[in-house]
Amino acid sequence: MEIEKFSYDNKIVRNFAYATFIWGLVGLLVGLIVALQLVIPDLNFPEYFTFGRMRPLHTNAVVFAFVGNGIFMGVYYSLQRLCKARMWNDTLSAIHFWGWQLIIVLAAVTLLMGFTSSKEYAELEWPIDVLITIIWVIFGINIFGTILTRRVQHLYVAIWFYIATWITVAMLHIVNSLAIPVTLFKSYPIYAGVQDALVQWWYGHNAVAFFLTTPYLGLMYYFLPKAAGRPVYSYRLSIIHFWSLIFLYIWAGPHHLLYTALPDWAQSLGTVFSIMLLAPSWGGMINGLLTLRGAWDKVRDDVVLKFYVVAVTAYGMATFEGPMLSIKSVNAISHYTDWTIAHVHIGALGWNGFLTFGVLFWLIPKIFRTELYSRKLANIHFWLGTLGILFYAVPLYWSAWTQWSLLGQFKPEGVLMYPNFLDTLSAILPMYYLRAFGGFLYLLGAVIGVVNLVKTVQQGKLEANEAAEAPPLPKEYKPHSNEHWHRWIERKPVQMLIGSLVVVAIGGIIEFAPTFLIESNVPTIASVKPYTPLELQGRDIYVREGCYVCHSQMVRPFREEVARYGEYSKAGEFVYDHPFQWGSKRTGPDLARVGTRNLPNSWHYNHMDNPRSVAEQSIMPPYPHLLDNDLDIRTTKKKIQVMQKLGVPYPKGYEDIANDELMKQAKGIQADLKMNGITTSEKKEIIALIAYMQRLGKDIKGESTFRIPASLKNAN
Amino acid sequence: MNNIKYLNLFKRGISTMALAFLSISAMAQAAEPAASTTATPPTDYTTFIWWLVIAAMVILLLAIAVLGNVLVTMAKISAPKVKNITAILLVLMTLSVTAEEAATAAPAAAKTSSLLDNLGIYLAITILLLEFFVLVMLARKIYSFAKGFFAAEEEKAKAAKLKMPSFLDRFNSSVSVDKEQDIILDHEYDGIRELDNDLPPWWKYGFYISILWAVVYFGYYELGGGPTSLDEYNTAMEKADAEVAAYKAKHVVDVDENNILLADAAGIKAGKTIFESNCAVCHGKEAEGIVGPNLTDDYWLHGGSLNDIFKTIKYGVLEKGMTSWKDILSPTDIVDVTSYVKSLHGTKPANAKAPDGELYKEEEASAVAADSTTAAAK
Repeated sequence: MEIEKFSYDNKIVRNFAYATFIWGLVGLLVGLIVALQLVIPDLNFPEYFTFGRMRPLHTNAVVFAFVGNGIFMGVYYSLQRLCKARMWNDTLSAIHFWGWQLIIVLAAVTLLMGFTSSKEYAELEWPIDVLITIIWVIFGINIFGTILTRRVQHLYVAIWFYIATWITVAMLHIVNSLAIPVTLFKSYPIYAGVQDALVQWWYGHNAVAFFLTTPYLGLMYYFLPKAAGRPVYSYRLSIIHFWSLIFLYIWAGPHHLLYTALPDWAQSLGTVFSIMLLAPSWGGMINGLLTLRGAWDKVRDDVVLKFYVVAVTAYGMATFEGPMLSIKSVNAISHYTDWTIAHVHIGALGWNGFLTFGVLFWLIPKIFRTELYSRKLANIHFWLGTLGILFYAVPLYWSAWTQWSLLGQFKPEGVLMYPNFLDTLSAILPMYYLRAFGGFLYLLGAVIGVVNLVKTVQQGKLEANEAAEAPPLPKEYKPHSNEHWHRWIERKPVQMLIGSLVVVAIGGIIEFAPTFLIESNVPTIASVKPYTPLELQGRDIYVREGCYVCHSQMVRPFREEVARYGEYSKAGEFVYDHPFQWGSKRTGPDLARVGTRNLPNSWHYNHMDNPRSVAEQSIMPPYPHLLDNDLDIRTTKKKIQVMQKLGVPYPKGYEDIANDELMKQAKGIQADLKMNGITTSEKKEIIALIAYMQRLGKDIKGESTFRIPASLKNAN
Repeated sequence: MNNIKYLNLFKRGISTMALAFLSISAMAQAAEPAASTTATPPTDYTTFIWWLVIAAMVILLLAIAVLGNVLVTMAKISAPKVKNITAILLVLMTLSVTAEEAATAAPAAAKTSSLLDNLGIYLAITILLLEFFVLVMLARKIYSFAKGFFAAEEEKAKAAKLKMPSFLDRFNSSVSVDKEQDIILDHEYDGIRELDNDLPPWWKYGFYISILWAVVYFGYYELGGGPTSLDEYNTAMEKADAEVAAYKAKHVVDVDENNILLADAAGIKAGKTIFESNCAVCHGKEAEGIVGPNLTDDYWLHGGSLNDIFKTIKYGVLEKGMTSWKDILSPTDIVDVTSYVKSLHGTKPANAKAPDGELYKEEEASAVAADSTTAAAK
């Protein structure tokens, strides 16, 4: 048969590799800064560099910039070789690369500017969401073009994972980002409250599944056997764990909402599917670790394999912990404490971080036709990283248990032992120092790793186009008589794509349909009213400043939470919340009913200006700019109109008088502040935020501040 | 030869499918009238779950039918195993009959009484589990058959030169590294080969158990009347209330605004801690007044006597922003913090807030103050 000559594109691989380690350092550095902001509040520099804006920057940088570029680097390297074909189109590759970097830069700028949807790991506003969609489609066309022009009959398991990743991320991103724009950088999601929460955590959990897990499993299936020189342990296991993993993962989202106002049946689905997910996840770990059978002597010497072993082990630990955290009684402890933070960092630092560095140390010397600059440095990096993970995670486990036990203690008279949330925070602050130290070690390791890589690059020369040859695919394929049934779909990429989509769509549809269609799932409460225009503006400031990063708005039905925060939250209380603000972590106390605490306006005013002026132990960032900045009321009308479109019952014509109502309420707050010795203009942002805070949790008691003016009542 | 085999398989498949569909329609007929003609219709969601359960039953039954069918065909080809198969088929038939009965009975039962409701649910779960179990058995059987078919000779050849495998290999039921050439698959991708090792049994059965657990968990909590989140909450609250009541019965803690006495030095010290973590937020660390008034001067908004201060703390003055603390602090805590506040009188802290409220002349103040310094008993 005729042999075709072609070449692999190594330049695009190099570009993504550079982006991976540059953004990796940025993401880790921002991580260290936010860890330090928690213990040294003076490191918050309002208005752009406060914890609420920096933490989303950290998560986005690590997930989409570091791991994202890592995925593309690994896919572009392995796919060409597994298909025996150059990437389909070099121009698309370049657009993909530069487009993705543009998205990252835009993300960094807009997040610090306060443009955020507040949906975790999907914070970016709608124009960037559109851009992401375009670039993701370009990536898809490029990989499918390559797959369809391949010179290898069957698709290797790594490619199954790439295909499932691509289609599922597309589905997740589009469904979760559906929103109606208000301005260029502000939009309201089409979902509200419970439904918004369900969609968001369906997305959030599966961003972990299909951005941090499946593509990396694909990378593992290529780079681990390559580095070890061993055959993959079990083809059958690959098949079973691939399909069961992608099918089961999708269902598990509601485990992020256990004991919340989400209907119980959906919570139970989240729990049981998370438990069933354990074996399929471990299938990947087993196939990785057992592939090293007969090569363990190599692991001792080969630093790349060492990174892989820790990565795969961390994957196994995190995917064991995940199902355990989905058991409701365990989740009650972990959900709003540092346990979850520790858990995700085992995954991010161990699994993603170490696999990425393993791949980099193997791949950079390969495409630069040289050896790794220093094995010694790589070993130092390895040990610093491993220690870093331990120093990061262990204190946070400790902190989580400590805080949980303090929060839940009662005096025999039936009142809380520690009614002040800050007392429990002070108890765990030392653990936050240790965690920051762990992060520092990991960053230090990464810096050494990057130095090592740069030196390697300097001593080699990039082979931009690596020559290769292979026979073309035969026109007609004759299956072997006794081949495995699964071989059929392995030579049908389009069927593989459709099959994956069907398998991942089922769980979402079954969970969404009843929640959206059956009214009894979100029982309405007559006394719950829309926000006044001022409160709505205040709420958008709350979203902009990232308050949800540290404050939940969801009182779970536990004795200690009801005693601390008031009546537990009901599904019907959130029906006008676009987006929902339940949060996922309580670094500060819950705010669902902060309005019922009767804190004076002046207290809020001083607290926002400098939290430590009213609460010495507080670690909250200061927000003095809210006292100086004028509220932008030009957007009020449009905001009300969008809300009307979304079904929030503002009467017709309300949008035109919204700003009058807003000023009326603002003047009331200003007057009250004045009475308490604070002179300020009613036009300041702080007034709106105070109005929103004072409203929170009140409606259920029939104390809503929303009134329809008499003029409109008659008109309607 | 092969063609005839496949033809047979196909025919059998069709007939079993037809049978299965018949039973589905029977179940559907049984379920539908029951769902629509009740006095107290179940919520949408109960019906929805019931349909899910019935669908699951049907799907499992279908799977049993198909697998059973495959097994029969296999058995026909390999004569000596026939007896075994007949036995399994018998179980299968009994089961499908029970399943039909159960499925017919269950939705109807769900409407009548809570006892029957639960009965129906347990029945349904049992049937589901049974079906699942039979399915697993069938699958195993087919697997071992298939093994027998295709690998009998090779197995024998291998067995001749079998060595004792290592613990890990036995644990994972894997072929040892030195024999892996026997199970290496004939494809390769960029130099990567794949072995055809069996699934590790502990992994496989672990997976089965997790699925079983999931069915039981979901069945118990969502269909079998297991406690909801709110049930759990109510139970916890009842338990806590009982504990508190028991404590109060033993310890008389009926201090209130009418009978309060100044706390001793230890109490005042405890009061200081409480003050700093709860009151300092508004009144300042030294009670100099921030948002809340200065508590060290002679002027009081709601009365400066021991009783009045206790009352203000206990019930709050909501319109002025003073929270009610009775659900947050225990009565003794309030005594302690009241006493601490009294002890601050005249301390003249820095940055003191301007006086507010009415001048309070302490008639008995000197006596009380003297008491506190000499640590008077309560």
